[in-house]
Amino acid sequence: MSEVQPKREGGSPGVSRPFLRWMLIGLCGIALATAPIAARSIVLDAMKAELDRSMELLGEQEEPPYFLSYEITEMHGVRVSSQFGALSSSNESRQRLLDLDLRVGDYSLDNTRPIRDDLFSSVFRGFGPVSIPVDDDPDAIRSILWAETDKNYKSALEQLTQVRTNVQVKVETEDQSDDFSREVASSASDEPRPIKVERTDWEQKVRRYSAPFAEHGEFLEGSASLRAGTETRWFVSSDGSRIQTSETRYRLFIAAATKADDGMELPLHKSYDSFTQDGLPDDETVERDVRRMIEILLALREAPLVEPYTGPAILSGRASGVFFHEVLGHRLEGHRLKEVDDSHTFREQLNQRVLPETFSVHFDPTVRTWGPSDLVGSYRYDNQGVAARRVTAIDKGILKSYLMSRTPVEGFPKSNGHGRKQAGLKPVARQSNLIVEVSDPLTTEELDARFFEAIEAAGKSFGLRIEEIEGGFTFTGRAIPNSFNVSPLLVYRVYPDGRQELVRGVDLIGTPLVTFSRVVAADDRIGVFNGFCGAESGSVPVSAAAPSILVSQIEVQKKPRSQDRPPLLPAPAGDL
Amino acid sequence: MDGSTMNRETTLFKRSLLPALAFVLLAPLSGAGAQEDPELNVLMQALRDELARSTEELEMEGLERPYFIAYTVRETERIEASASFGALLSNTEDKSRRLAVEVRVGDPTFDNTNFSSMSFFASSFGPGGALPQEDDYREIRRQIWLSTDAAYKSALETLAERRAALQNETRAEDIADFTPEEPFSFYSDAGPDLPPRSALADLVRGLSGQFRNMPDIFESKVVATVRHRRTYYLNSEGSAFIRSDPIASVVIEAHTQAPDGAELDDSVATYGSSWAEVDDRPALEARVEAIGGSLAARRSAPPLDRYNGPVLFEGQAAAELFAQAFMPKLLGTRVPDAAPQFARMLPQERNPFLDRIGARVLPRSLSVQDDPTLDADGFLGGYPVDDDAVEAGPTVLIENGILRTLLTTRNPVPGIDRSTGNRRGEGPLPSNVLLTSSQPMTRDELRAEFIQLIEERGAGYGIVVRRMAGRNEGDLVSVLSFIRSGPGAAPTVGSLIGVFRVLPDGTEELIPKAELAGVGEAAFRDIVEVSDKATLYSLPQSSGSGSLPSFVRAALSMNSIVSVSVPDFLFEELSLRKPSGNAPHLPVARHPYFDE
Repeated sequence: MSEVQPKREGGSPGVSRPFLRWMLIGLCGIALATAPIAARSIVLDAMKAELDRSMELLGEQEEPPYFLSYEITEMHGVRVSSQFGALSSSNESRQRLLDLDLRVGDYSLDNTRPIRDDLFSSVFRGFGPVSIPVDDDPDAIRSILWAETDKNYKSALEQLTQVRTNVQVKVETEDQSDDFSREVASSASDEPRPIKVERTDWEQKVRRYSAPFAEHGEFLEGSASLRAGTETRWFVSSDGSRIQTSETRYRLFIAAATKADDGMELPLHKSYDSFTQDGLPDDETVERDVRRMIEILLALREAPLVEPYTGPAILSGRASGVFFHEVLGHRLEGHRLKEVDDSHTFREQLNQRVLPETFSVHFDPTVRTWGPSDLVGSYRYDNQGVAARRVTAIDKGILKSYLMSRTPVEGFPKSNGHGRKQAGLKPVARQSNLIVEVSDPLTTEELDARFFEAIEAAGKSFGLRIEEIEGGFTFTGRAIPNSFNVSPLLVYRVYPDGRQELVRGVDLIGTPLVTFSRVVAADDRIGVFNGFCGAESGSVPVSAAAPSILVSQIEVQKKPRSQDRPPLLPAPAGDL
Repeated sequence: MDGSTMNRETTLFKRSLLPALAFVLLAPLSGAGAQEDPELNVLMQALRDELARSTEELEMEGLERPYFIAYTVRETERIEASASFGALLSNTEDKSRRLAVEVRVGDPTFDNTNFSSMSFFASSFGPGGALPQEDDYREIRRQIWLSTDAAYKSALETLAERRAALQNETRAEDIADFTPEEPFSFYSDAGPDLPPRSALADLVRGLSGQFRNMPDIFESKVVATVRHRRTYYLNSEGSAFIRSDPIASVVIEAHTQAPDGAELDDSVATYGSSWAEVDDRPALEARVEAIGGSLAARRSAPPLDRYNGPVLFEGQAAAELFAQAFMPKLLGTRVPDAAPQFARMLPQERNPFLDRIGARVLPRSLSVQDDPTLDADGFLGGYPVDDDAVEAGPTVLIENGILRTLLTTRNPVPGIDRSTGNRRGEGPLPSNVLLTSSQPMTRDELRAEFIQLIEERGAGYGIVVRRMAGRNEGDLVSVLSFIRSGPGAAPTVGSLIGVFRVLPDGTEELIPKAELAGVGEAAFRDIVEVSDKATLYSLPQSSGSGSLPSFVRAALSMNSIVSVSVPDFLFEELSLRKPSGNAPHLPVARHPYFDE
């Protein structure tokens, strides 16, 4: 199973959510570095020294490690948030976490191979996040590296014994590829990107942004928050990589929610992402967006409920980006093709047509902006020290490649720089910046015209226009139907005469292959979605840039609805 | 790693001290400092206004109205610094304000509480949520309004569920759900200011750096924490309070392995009610040295296989043993009614002491009292008013060996229908506990008695225990034990980490580590003798009415400090064994700093 991150800002009593609702919003792992790092990195030097010593001393053992890497991630950030005009939190934090990859055996078979029919072995593998001193003290850093290396070495030996037995007693695997790929060593030393956030200024700003929600007693949530920070990573490996990178990110997030009289919760979000503080919008823009959110939410409370429907729909650029991320992207994550219980949707589709000829899909972490938008899914090196590169997954409708970490699959023996993770977890193949490119796009008017034709051809009285998407989730396993669910925030019923009517209460559902076969056309208006995606290697920043698409047939089902009545008493009125 | 100490010795008199202590210690806590005017407090005003509205107007058509509403706001400011090997690991600052709402429907004899059902995990944390950090009256009221609404609806549903579950059952015991108490008000002053974060960082860097001189120690960590908590409370019976509970602590932990691989840990915690109380650099440095020295000595000590015979518990070990094996039984926790399928899934154990009131549970010379009003030097468990707004007062628990009562909250237990004013968090907890003897021996006499027992037994040697590790509530073992046995299962007691063989001629030999086999509250009935000197010791405890497992409470740091004052204990016979399980190999490489 893979899915996008269940992330909500703030949250208020009464606006509870189903536990398994995973959403493509949120903002983990953003941080800021104010302390400059010395040009010659003390941290990297300490890591390298201990790595060399460990490889030498462990190399004398009967079963020596064939690979060792250390990654230290520093997250230095500021977070300021408010609800209904009042400050709810304001703090700064700085921490460093260690990730360690120690492998015994060899590239073809090592201790990391999953043990089949043993659910718990994968769950209890690894030791969880380990804190590293934030002081640049080589002795203190090395003493922790030493202790963790030893623990990991002993556990790797145990795992390898189990793996070897498991390989003997189980049937041959479908995929005979190696456990780890050989890669060229990388070397980089980014200048630190220090930034300064005036917390008191931002406290005032977020109060101001969330204050208008307080004018409406029917709102259960109305929050604004800023997260700003730098993530600095140091990586060394026994195959010679030595990397220091530093990235700043700013995210302003506005979230509001109300409840319809029938109990349905109606959330709405707006986020602004940038690599620089100047890239965030000015007060006037944010305040205008907040007013617009209030208008939409008030309209949503009164909007009619949609019944289950199949028929044509237009997904806006941002919505189609999330749609491609969920329905296509997660199924192209290479390591899944090796998991015995994954449904391998696209394994037999290689070099086959999966989308119209005009469509290409790229994953490109090396692109930092798209139009005026920064793309948060960009990076220079992945979490396995492999240089980021552009991957054309679908070329003119034909499936050409998967997203690869250093876990090879048959036919793809190398990483393409998509081994990613949240600090403290094991990397797997993950998405970066998903870019949908259409060679012969229609204009928006032409796409609408095709939409109306499709509505008529389907014999429907209306179609659906899906504008904003909260996020979604998808199941890629075999034990349950291989389906996806994408949750729209803003849906309009569109009539052939051009009238639009705001409606509520539906989720977009389907299965991937059928749904893709129904994508017919796209326009030239690219929407960008920035968010955080959650899966087995944690929460990672991702982006999607895509045009509006016309799908000849989609299916919507009723949203789960809270059974709680709205509050019995009216909102308290009056000031002190 | 585990264990904690706050050692101070107090000499207790030979007679029972209870009346005298009560006299000395009833000094009014409420009199100290400038009290905050609750009328001017924005938070209290918002609570008052919303309480008034809810009490008058909150009603679901055709269903019962609340008969009791209480609001608790916990305002916490916490700073922490941790360091290892002289370098800072983290230096954090948190601030939060959390509201908890208690709504009762039905009546005090039968209401929506004392009921566990399948929905129990979901509702364990209770209604409530974060309040803004600043005194924004309108926003605070909005949050109280929403939380009260949610709490009322959930109370109605729970009451209906409880009635449904019990309609086909005869209740084994017909006890009420809520004790009647007199309204009480109390307002404390704001308490001390927090120290600067850098003060904590400097201290832990310095202390943890001492381990650079200790090649025998493999891993170590020092954590300093200051937590200022201010609790605002208001209920529909007219009780109200504002109470400050500052805690400061410094925890030193270290780990090593013996040459045979046996894992050896030690940790020492120092608690105080202010940063100034714990920030005693020379004393803390001495503790780091002591930990390092004792671990180094334990590395080379010959292990113990098994032992049955007389055991003398001294100082910290006596206090820790009492706190772990006996004190929990003094809590009047109640086993809630449960939906049948739930009762089967997670059976809850009844406290055996509920059925032993009036029976002898200790030797006739021993008495136990709990006293939250005790404000003597070193006692940190005191408070003026408990979390139900019941005025704090001393409680005689055991008198001349006979169990008189248990510590309770407003949730009655069989045989005890009033609160003793011991609600701390979710359920009852002790405050300051004193175990006294009417016939104590001097420590020399006690030791002579011990040697005589060893000789009588012909065992060749006896065991004296001076340090005992705390029960590690957050670790995997206790989590698994909870999953296997449910919340009633008593976790095993901590390891013995300062253990010595005592030969008949009085010479002592260190043992690296040992475990106690099967020590429960019953063992305390057979204490042979106790010393006249008592050890004053403080430790964190978390309360529960059985609804939240202890490891969750520990993780949420819902801890309160309890102080115990106990003498040394001599047991005629206890069983000790070496730690179970295999020892991991020693590290392949040596510590890089000491690898010259």
